[in-house]
Amino acid sequence: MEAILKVKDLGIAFGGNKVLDSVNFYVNEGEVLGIMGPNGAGKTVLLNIISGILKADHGEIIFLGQNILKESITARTAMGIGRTFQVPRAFEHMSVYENILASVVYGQKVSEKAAAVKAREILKLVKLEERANEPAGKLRLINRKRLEIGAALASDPKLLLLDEVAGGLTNAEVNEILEIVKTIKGRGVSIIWIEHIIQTLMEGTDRIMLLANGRDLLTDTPEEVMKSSIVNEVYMGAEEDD
Amino acid sequence: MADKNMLKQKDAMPKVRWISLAVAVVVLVSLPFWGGDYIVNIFTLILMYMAIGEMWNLLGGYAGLVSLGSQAFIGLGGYSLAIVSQVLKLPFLLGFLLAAIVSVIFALLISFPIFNMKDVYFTIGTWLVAEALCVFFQTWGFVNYNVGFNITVARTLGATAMYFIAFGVAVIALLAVVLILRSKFGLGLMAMRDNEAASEIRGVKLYRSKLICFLISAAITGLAGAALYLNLSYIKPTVGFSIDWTVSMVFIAVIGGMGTIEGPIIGAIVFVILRQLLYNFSGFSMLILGVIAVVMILVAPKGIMGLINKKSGFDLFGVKRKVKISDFQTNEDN
Repeated sequence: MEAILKVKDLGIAFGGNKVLDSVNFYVNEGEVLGIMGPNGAGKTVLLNIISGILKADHGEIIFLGQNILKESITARTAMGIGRTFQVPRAFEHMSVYENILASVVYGQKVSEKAAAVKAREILKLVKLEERANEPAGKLRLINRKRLEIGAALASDPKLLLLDEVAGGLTNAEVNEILEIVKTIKGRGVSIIWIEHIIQTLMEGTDRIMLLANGRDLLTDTPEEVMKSSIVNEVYMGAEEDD
Repeated sequence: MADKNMLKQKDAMPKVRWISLAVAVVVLVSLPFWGGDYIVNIFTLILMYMAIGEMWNLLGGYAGLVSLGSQAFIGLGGYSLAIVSQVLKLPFLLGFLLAAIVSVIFALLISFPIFNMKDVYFTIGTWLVAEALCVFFQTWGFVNYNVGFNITVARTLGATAMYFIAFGVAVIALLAVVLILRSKFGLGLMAMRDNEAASEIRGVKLYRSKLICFLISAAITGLAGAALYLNLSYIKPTVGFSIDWTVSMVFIAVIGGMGTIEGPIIGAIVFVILRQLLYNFSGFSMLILGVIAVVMILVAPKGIMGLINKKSGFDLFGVKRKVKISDFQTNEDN
């Protein structure tokens, strides 16, 4: 299996505080890599760097064989990196359909007519077809999360970055999200999934990376990671998950 | 069930929309033939203010560019008209062409420095540019320094001709916004309006989109500036580049509803009527308008159109994209 993403010695500091010191990992094609870590471990910062929102101080991000560290946000989207945000960022005054449509039009650089077909496919995948004409701002949390995933999928990404898409949901809703993620994986999309609900990571990922103190402390299968004493040490020291 | 109904619900809006638009067009086109001069003049003002309100709204309401320097294009438009008609003695309509061209060139030139300014610095930057332009025109002999020009061609035009010029400018402004918002580019603009950071991650190129809006807004504000000064028949720097123009545009957009096409139409009607009513309180009129705007922001931050939209979902120009449940079924069949 070939790595679609390789991250080498990635680091960033804010005002002298090293949030990420030296992070190294890879994601294989079609693989789901879960990322866990205590509050402030830099998980979202890592996704922000990969998606281009933040600039790393050092390191390399090799995506599809190319170092993308200097690429713009939109260039990375066009190359095939899609992402969700921890707090869903919908286009509130646009309908659910328009949210996906705009994301397809700009993400895939296609005409609105061509985008309409793809938008409908995505709405079906994230089970929002019945809410298609509703304003996104009026959706409840589970549907906002669905929309967020749908919008991230709209650019037809090869790598999808999920930032706590199951956070704040009921068990039944978490399972719905899990099913959607499995379907996306089934389509061959590689995924990096930050989540705090351990059970979700256990069920939905191929490998889990433990991020703490600005470093990748451990990366292994979910079962092996859970058995590791490092996980206990890290979480015993942490006050509370974010 | 309710969800299905929402999707199945036939779009009842087109009928209302077409009837409303048809009535508006008939009333506006026929107005000079049945309305008195006073009414025609009021509508002339409404149409011109609507045009500049739409253009400020394109910047502030959609592209997130809160400009306090749009008066620069009003002044450039007015001076273009004055130079063409008074200095070059050419047909005044060429002044409108020059107004749009000069405004776009000026917008392009200043875009490089001011687009590097973010948020409030952009706002201040636009204001300073307009002020600098005002000072430059005050010291420029070619445009008669601080004395300015009498635009004598205005005296040869009747109220009807002036009305139809204003009508033309308003139609251009409105058509530009409607066509933009109905286009692929418009989808990106609406996304930017709602969440700039998210729109960028979805692939919208912010700089390019903002620049296009800035240039379009400059061109049409320049056109409107020419129309406004054709109507006023006199221009000098302190009036042509007065920030009062932009204050009016902001008022119109805020009262009517920012980020909507209909908002500046409603805002312009309210603004012109209020200004007429407050005519005898000239010292206080801007103060009163300001208080009204502040109250409106507190009570209805999305303006009058926001309230209407919330109640009825009314969309006069049909820029909302909708999908029917049958579209999903077709997909399934395929």
